[in-house]
Amino acid sequence: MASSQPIPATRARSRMQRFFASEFFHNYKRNLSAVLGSLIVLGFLVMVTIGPLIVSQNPYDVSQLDLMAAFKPPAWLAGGSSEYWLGTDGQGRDVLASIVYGSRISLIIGLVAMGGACLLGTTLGLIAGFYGGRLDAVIMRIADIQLSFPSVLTALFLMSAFGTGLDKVLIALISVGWVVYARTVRGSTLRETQKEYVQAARVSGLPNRKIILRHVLPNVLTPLIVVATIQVGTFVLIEASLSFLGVGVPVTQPSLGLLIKNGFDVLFSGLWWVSIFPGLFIMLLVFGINLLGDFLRDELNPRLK
Amino acid sequence: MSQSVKDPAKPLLEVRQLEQRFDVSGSFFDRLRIAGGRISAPRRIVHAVNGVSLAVKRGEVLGIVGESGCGKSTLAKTIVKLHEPTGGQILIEGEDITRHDFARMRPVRKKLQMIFQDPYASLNPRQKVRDIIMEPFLESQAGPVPDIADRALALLAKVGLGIEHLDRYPHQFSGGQRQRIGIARALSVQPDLIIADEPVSALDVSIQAQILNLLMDLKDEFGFSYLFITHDLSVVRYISDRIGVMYLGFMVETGPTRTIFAEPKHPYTRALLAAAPQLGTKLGPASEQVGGEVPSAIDLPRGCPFRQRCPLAFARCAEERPELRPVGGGQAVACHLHEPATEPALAAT
Amino acid sequence: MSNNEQHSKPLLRVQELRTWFYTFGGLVKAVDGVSFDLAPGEIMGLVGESGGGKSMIGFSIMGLIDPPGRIEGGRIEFNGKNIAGLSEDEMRVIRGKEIAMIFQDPMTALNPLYTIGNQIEETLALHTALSARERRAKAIEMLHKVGIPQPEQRLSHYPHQFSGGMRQRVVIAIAMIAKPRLLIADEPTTALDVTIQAQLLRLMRQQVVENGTSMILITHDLAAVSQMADTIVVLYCGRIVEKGPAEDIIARPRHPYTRGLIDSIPHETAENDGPKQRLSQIPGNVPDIRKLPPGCAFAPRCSRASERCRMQDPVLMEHNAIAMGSGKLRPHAVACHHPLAVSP
Repeated sequence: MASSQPIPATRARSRMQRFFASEFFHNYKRNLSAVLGSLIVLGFLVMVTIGPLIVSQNPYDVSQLDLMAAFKPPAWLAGGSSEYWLGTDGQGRDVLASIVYGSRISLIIGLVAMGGACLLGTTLGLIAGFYGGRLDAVIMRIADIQLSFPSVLTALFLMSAFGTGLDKVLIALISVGWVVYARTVRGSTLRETQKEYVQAARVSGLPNRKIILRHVLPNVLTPLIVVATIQVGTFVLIEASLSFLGVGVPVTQPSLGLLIKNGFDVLFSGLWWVSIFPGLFIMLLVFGINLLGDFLRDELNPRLK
Repeated sequence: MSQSVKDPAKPLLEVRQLEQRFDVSGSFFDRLRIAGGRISAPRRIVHAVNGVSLAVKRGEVLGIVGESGCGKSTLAKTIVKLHEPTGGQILIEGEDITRHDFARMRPVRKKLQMIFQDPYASLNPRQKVRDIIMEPFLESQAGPVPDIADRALALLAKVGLGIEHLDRYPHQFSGGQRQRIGIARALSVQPDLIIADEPVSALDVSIQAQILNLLMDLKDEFGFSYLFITHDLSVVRYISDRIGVMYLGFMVETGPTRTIFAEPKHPYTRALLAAAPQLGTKLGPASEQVGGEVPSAIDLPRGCPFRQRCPLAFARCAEERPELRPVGGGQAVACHLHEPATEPALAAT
Repeated sequence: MSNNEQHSKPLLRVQELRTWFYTFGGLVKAVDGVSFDLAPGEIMGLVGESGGGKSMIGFSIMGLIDPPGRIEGGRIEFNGKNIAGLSEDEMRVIRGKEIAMIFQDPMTALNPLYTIGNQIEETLALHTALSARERRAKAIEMLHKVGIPQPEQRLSHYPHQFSGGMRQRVVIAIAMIAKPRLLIADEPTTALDVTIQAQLLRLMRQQVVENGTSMILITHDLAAVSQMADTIVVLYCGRIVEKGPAEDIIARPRHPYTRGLIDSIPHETAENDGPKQRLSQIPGNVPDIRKLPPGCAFAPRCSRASERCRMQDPVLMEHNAIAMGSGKLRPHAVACHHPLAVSP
């Protein structure tokens, strides 16, 4: 009998090649807003990874700051310096450098919190949908209660209870964000467990744990891609609101939101650039993420096709 | 196949007075009714299977036929314990598995496999064929298994697929090929009994014949039995040794295939046979006048479940539910018309 | 128009119809050069397996082809006028009044938010000048005709309050109420049980005969078609492989595919005491319609295929057949290089 090796012919075409030949990529290429969105997001990712190596100063290294250069306007205005493209703040921090570092913190918070919320929500949603009954009722009622509060308010409560700090922000965001995964996953789990392949796994004698991990989980993940993408944007905004309200990240780790707050005090003294530029960057980031999310929703939701 | 030590007298599968009910009333608040100034919270119970008894011998094909909602699919799924039976007994080679928990079911699962109706829903879209077909086998083994790939290949060959299919995903196959994969999965543990729930009804006619032939070839090769659930009379006639006709969760008639088709006794069986479209005969005027539709399984009618549609119903049918009784020649029927009218009291036990 | 003329002229003439779909995976020639005539009052069965293109013919006639599909060529003459490529507004006048359609799933044809009374009367309001009271009376009469008990009360019920079979009766009532000249039924009984199926087939035939309506019955169920139809058209991969009088096609199929379909149905003679005979089967699978082989599309699955079949497309050629009973010559056409012999 022939030995059973994987068939080289199908393997010859790499994953990458198959992706570029796929309908998904074909539609992506022709969708201007999807391309724009992903370019923006990609731009931010590049900026936060290699940006700190390029910008002239580390705005949080006091030794690099020059108080003499405080409140310099952007380079193209009178009194501006080509050293500080987007001007400086009251401590002589380069606004552009602050934005690069701030975006890094904002994005890390958004991504980590999204990951945590996704993990928690997916686990709870799988349990609720698969086992049903009382467990399901309890989990989903908690989710309902959670949803009846505005998310910023919930986060604000939690922050005032636990205090501020990066970890507290993450906890607040995760406890706000898990619900959407739990509900989505529970719905898909209910649908998938009705399908015959799950029944076949039961008939084969698979324990529930294996059925959930091997059969249900892989089949409920696709809709989460959309939720997760958009949620990164939402989290960046919530975190910015919290920081703006003074209950977010500590001043030593300023996010884009904290930058806006810092500049807000001097906004009406004509020193607009200190908070407007971070604001524009938040807007751009969330805009890009949402464009990408919309495209993914159209592509991955079979009902819209 | 090792079946030498088995007791041939005992049926492979025996089902006694099996009953399956589902509470579909929902939560307390869903049930809450206010009628006539009184608050009540009635339960809504679907009586899916009502006291069904059957036996499948080794190497035998028992066909269960009936229309949608007659409980045939629930019967199949209860026998493999996808549902916990609410009453009655299920015996595999004499072993009562009715109340078996997960751990005690594990060895039984090797004897009992299932083929499903929908080839598009019965395979996990994220699994490769090699993983799909080997899953029941790997689950039944304690430790790691050598030569998994060779075993997988041998299985695929049995169902007419080849090495090139091993690493593909279900969406790359047609309906008929998918059903072959589902059959390979059931074969992997070398079961004694395969429960086939409408295995060909989702397939095109020409593919149906292929799959039916395959199922019969495999049975001849491995000697297992089928419990074959279908709504299609021509299919059940072709594949079964014996037939059970179900209506509204009741077994209304059983018997050898030839007898059932030649001399159907129950009025419902007759109506079913008369309604089946025959190739090349023009649709005549309605002959056996069975009008109306299947009543709800939530409020079972009193007496005979078929009486409201039955052209021959009489007073007794509304009062007393007929039991399935042998009428000779291996045939049994649940109908008051076919009872010796002289001994109704005796038969009531 | 005199009576005689009406009988000689077809109600529907489909000529070289091509309905193609431009999908990402390639060009799908769902209907590729299909021609047939349908006489007034005639019941025609359109049979084939999934992917055969039978539903797309119905959709094309109804003007319901949406992108990425389009009618690429050919004519659909209804009552002497080409309706292929009419605008949506022009089609809307014909749909429902002149041509009605019944689908497999009655729920798609009924709006769950309106009572069935609303829905039947709406059809009347669209296509007739009846008053509200007359419409209601007509709706009750129609429900009665399709065998719905207590039609007065049922008018105010919603679709979910009906069983599957009753819903399909309502759909038939809506389809027939404007007395259309053509009824297209796409797998109308596939989702229903055999006992209900027989009831509905009878009902449809009775309605069609009563109104002199022509009917196209689209189905995969050869037995149901043979019970209903005057003529049968067999499709494979978007093309007609055989067409002719129903009895003739069933009793003396000339295309190997038709023969295979008929033989695939487990039939009564297969029962005997000994080991079961194998069913005769068509080997292989329906090919991917985007990658059809050259020549006859059925050749890879055909035991009679020759080198010629794999090179050259067979054309639909007429052989005259004697329709059973009538003794009249009626055309029986087959697209095959090696048709089966006409032995009785």
